[in-house]
Amino acid sequence: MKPIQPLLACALLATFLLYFRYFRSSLIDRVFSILIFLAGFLAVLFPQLTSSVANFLGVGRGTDLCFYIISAATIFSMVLLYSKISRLEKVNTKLVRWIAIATAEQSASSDPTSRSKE
Amino acid sequence: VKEILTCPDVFVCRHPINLGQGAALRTGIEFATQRGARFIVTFDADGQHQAQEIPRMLKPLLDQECEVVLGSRFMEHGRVENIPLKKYVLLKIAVLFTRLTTGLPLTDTHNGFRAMTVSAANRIEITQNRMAHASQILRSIAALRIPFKEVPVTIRYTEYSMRKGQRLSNAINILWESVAEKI
Repeated sequence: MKPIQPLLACALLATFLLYFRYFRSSLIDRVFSILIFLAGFLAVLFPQLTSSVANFLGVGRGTDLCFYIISAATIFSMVLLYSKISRLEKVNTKLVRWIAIATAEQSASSDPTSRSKE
Repeated sequence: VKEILTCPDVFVCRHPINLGQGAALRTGIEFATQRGARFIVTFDADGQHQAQEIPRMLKPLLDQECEVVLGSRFMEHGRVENIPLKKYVLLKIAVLFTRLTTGLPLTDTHNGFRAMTVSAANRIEITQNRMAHASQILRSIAALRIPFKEVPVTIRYTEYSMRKGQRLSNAINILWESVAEKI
């Protein structure tokens, strides 16, 4: 075993535990994340495995395969995050709007029934 | 704002956190609608617009000529005072760009001075919280075929409005937000 392997394994394990501690979500999410983390462990402990898979898929080296997968995953998660953020922004806007309207200040009015204009 | 509150019949809605002008317009429109307003006038608060021109903006609405009135500094009888050359060029490019994308025959596309009926105001989409809303409003008008009219207005660029106003580099951000919206 090379020294890098326990380091990577520990990092993975920590991420895995943190994920389950703080981001408990639906069953499908859990199954998927367990599979991904297992694949990560396998790749760390048996690096040759990634090369075999890579060859099977027509990619030269296991490292290249990992690189491709990570690129795709990064782009996917960025798009996901972007959509989540814009959804949050919309909710936030609604909330702030509600507060602004609920707390509108009125000036000393001569006629309280008069119309307002923005 | 405290000064405004000494005038009669004024309401101030304040966003507890800054969400940008687009969001602020939507809030104002919603508030005015709830209070039973018939017309909405939007107005930049940096001193570039003239309050005495509001009746002129409202007239086409009162005459039921159209549902939206857009202020224009570039059409005949419109005036601009002290406009920096860079800003002039940028605005002209924006006009050209908006004409191409919306097909609306406008002379001034980024003017915050507008008047509209409440029904038009509530149909127009403003989901762009920050500054891309100006183009979004025009796209809405074009898509919904809301009858509109341009009315000449005077824009006065003062030192204060220049300090408060848009930086030119922001045009890039606005373009980006407009493109991102379509995705």
